[in-house]
Amino acid sequence: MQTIWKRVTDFFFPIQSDEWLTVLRIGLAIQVLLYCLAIRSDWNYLLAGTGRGLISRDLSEVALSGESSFIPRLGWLVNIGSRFGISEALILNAAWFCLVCAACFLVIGLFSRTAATSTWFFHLCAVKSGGLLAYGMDNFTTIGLFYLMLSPLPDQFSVDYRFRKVTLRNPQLQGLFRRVLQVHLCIAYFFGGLAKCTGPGWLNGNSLWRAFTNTPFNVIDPEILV
Amino acid sequence: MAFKGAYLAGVIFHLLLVLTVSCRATFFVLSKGHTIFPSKLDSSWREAESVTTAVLGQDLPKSNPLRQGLSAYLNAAGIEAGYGFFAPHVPGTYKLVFELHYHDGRIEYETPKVKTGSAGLHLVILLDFIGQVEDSVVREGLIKFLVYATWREHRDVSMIRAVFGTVDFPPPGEFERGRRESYQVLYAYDVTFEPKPVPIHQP
Repeated sequence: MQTIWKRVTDFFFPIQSDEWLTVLRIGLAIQVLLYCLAIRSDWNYLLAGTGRGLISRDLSEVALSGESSFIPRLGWLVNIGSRFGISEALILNAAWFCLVCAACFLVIGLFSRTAATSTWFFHLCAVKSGGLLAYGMDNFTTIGLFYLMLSPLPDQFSVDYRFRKVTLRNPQLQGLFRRVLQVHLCIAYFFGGLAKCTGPGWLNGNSLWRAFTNTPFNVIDPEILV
Repeated sequence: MAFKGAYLAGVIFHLLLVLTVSCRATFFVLSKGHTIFPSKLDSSWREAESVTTAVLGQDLPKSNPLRQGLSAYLNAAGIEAGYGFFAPHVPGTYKLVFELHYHDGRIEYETPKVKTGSAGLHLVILLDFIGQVEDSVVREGLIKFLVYATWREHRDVSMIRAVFGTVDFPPPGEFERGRRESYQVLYAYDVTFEPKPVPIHQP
């Protein structure tokens, strides 16, 4: 029994450096910043309530409430703002600005934990409130931010450690969080591959062709592919 | 030892949830058919899917705190959906075209508009979602939201016909023989608008 326990703990608690955490922190922060900048002009249009945007944010949030009332959403912030007479557009702009600020703090590692939690919260609010518009990339960003928020921040390349002299955490915890992330990605890729294996189109190459030629993934001219 | 045990319990719980959600998504894909498995297995996949759904507490009443809590955790961690993107096959691309009919008989064509390429990608996801909705009332409702967004930019139209269809790209062999993409209409909805009241100016 002790041997099994030792094997399990050796697997899940290897002593690791925190370089992976630096890569995850900076990578996710840049990813969120690019997401914010890329969608800035349409942010309010995509996330506005009924009658003001492309598709109603209220609709997504009603569907979300059907799942659970505790899932973060922009509607919470809009409701709080409306009590103080703040317009929906201003709240949505403020949420975008907060997300950008949190990601900027995260990229340099200043107030790392608060920055990671804020980035996760505002990103999750935006993704869940725009539920019908969300896709795989948003999901993976949420996964990454969730792990980052719980992981043993700060890392040795953060401003927190270099200038604010915040102490580093147990290196075994670094190993644990890295291992969980690895196992999670293994599961994701395994099931992604397994589901594709069952489709005849993926076995004869037709699905690959369709993936390259369908809008909006048709970045390579089909003439070249043929 | 105690700190390791507590962390390990949390990690195992989390990874089991990831596994269960992934299994559920895979069973869902398999139960829809069009896979390498014989269609007589479809009902077995559906049963397996319902078992995983029950494990995730989704069979409980919506107000049940366990279901609410578990759903909140799954969504907060980003693990509420599986990873079967483009499985078992790559779906066709959907396209929505608006036919704007003006009071003077003029007709213009327009597609849903967004300003950025990133939002355009989100719009494609929305159209994919609409294309996969089986409930006709929900589908019509979603399309009407998009019609309404277009109408706000063209308030002088009398009617908007929303034509939802799929763009089929030929397989490589047919593409080489010169066949190109074709558009197939799936659904069309007409939404009429009252003419704007003319304000009466009193002297």
